[in-house]
Amino acid sequence: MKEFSEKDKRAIIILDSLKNLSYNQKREILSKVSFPRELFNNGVLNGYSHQEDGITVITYLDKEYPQAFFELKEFPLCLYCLGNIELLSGNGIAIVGSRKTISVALEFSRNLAKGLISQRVIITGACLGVERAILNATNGENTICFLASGIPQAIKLNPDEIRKFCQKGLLISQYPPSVKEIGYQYIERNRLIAKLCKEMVVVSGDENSGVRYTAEFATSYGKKIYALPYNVGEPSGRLCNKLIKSGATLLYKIEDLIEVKKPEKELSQNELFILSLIKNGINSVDKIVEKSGIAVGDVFTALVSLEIKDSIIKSGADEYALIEF
Amino acid sequence: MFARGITYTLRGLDGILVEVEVDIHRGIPKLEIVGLPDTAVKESKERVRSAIKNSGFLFPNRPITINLAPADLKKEGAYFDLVIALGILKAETENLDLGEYVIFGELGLDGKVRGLDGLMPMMISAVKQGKKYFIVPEENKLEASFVAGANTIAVSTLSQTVEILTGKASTEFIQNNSEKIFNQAVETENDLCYVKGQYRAKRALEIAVSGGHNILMVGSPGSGKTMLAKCIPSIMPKMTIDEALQTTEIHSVAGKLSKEKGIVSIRPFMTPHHTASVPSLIGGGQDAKPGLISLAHNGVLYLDEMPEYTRSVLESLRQPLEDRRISVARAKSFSEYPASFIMCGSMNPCPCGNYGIKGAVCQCSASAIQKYRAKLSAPLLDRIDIQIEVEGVKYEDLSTEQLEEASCVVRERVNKAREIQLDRFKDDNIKTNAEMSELHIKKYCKLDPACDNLLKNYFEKYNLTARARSRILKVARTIADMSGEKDINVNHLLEACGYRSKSADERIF
Repeated sequence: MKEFSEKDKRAIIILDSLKNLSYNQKREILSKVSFPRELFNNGVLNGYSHQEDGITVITYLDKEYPQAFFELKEFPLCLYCLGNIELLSGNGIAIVGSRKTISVALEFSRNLAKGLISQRVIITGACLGVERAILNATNGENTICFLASGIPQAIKLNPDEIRKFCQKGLLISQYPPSVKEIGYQYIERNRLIAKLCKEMVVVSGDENSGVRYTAEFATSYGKKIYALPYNVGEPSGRLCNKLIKSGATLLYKIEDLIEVKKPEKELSQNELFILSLIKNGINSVDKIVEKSGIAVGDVFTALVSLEIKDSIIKSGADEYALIEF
Repeated sequence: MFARGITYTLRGLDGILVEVEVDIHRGIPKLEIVGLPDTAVKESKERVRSAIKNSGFLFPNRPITINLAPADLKKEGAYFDLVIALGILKAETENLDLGEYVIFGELGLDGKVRGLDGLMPMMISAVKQGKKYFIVPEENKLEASFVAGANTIAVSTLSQTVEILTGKASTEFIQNNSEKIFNQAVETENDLCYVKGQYRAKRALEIAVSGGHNILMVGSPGSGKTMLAKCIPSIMPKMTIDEALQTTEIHSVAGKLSKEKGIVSIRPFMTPHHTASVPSLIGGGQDAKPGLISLAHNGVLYLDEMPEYTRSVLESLRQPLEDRRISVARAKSFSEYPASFIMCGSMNPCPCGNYGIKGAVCQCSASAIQKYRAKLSAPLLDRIDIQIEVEGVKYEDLSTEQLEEASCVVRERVNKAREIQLDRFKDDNIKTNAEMSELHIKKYCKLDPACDNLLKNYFEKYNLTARARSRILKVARTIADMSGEKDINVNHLLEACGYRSKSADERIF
């Protein structure tokens, strides 16, 4: 068993940050030496240094490095982390989805994430849509968020949100701080998500969405996949239906994954009546007003109140859907 | 031989007295106009010479000097012709009595008197300064008839004017119309009774109009946004005489006043195209003319497809939306115009218009949608209290028996809500809930603990900013006024919450 020192770690970090070398070249350089610290002597790292900037770097030599990544052909040499790195060893479940997602599915992923954080570590990304909804729902608690760019690049965009997130959660990236996001890096990021998780929930995605890579990776790594069912003709869920067809587990109630306690809701008479109308497919303000004869203002009041109580969600310009998951 | 006549010129909406002095002396014949005349005024000499000759009078064959006092104020327009011609005739024959008349009118070569723009604001200023008698072109007769306290003679030719002033013809003042027109029923082309369904949007419009709130409608193409917007003037309260005069003044200055009507008695509805330039909207040009936002004063400014407007145009609206007036400054002139209007915007949910619409496929990338929506900046959205999504009514959902409410019924309710507001704000120098400042909100939008709690929950659920709070409170205040209640209760607040944006990761706003 080799004993590695801090100097070895530093050498790897510096090597990882070199832009003019490809991943394979870096691996080759490392394979030629028995200890990475020798790189300081043979001139490869001359003129480069590593700056401490508050980001924790986990190299593949560290014991915190997730062992699962070694099964990858191109495992990351370094993982750049901000926040609670203990989460890496947790029992991870990935929740992924595309940017364009219908609001009912967004609400589902929010509720799912809130239900899961007490027992599991949630793994997701930081894109708009599903992933951002999950981050907002958990506020970082038991959440790992994979980035497709260097961490400082993301901090530049929303410093406040990230500071809040990192108090409890873990922001992680395989890219050195200066790397900006490029399309293919999302796929590499998706690969890590698929590798690190034990199970994966695919909330949404069409046939061309980046989520399809995540799902493909997870399938090839033999992970269990859950997918939400979608209506015929709903473009944002075609991928999910396809996954279910090819063997993914259909998930339409949060109870299928975890036990949830639903709080008792106090509803007024109007609200109960409108809820029953929505159950029967009378789900827009226009229809409710025509059917029930309640004044528009009161219908509106009841609908907003039901929304706040998490009984319904606005699913279209003038359309409401029940939250029954 | 010397004569003096008076007329007015405009600076912004303020009329300024101009004395026209004519002096005829001995020497080689020539005609000189001094006192900073612009080209149109200078060319007046040719028109005046021909008009006098062709009306059968003798043009003095001697040198004439005409001074427009105050001499340091730039004068524009051709309407000095008539007073100059009368001045010359008086200086020559001296049997004319120009008396106290304020005279406006452009002359044709045959002696015909033509109309002018901007007559009403000049007459109103003149009346305020104590002038009582006016001579105006026949074309502007209607416009002049709405100015209270003015005794006006409308003339169509130079010779007719001379006859009146020499006493050969009787002096007939035109009838004052200022009361009459407002007793007529206002008819508008668009009426809410033609809009099927859309209860949510109609309710939102009613609230917007009741409280003077700006409103943004988001919906796919063909969902009826434009039709709804066009109905806004039909549910607004009737214009008061003061409001009508204010708006007419602006239209008169801009030369947009209809000669057949003579007054803007129906609330204006302005729809600039999205290629409109900043000066056309805000006001400008060499002489700092009012723009569309001032023409929409006391009415509605409708911006269709809002994100298609250039950024600078949209941002330039921020200050007038706040101050309700606009200062237009140019190198040579500076004018201030009122611009108090309800802004109604509409937009698609995404560039292709299909995002979030059932059964339609949106072709836009997520970044394209974001970019499209980012065209409306946060400070601008902050000035729009009500945001709603509009969806087209499906054919099978139209039940034909259902009779829709007519605009006049809605207007009655709006009137009531406005009266409550006027009464509440009588000491505050504002008229509507939308104009409330933070101070007013604190004073008039008191919340009981239940409301406070509700608002807190709502804010936590949707991650809202503090700015959203005052918008919700203003709208809640209006809803409370509409139901005639003194304090905001939970139901009002809940409804108000429904007319605003949700969290960032969700749908539109």
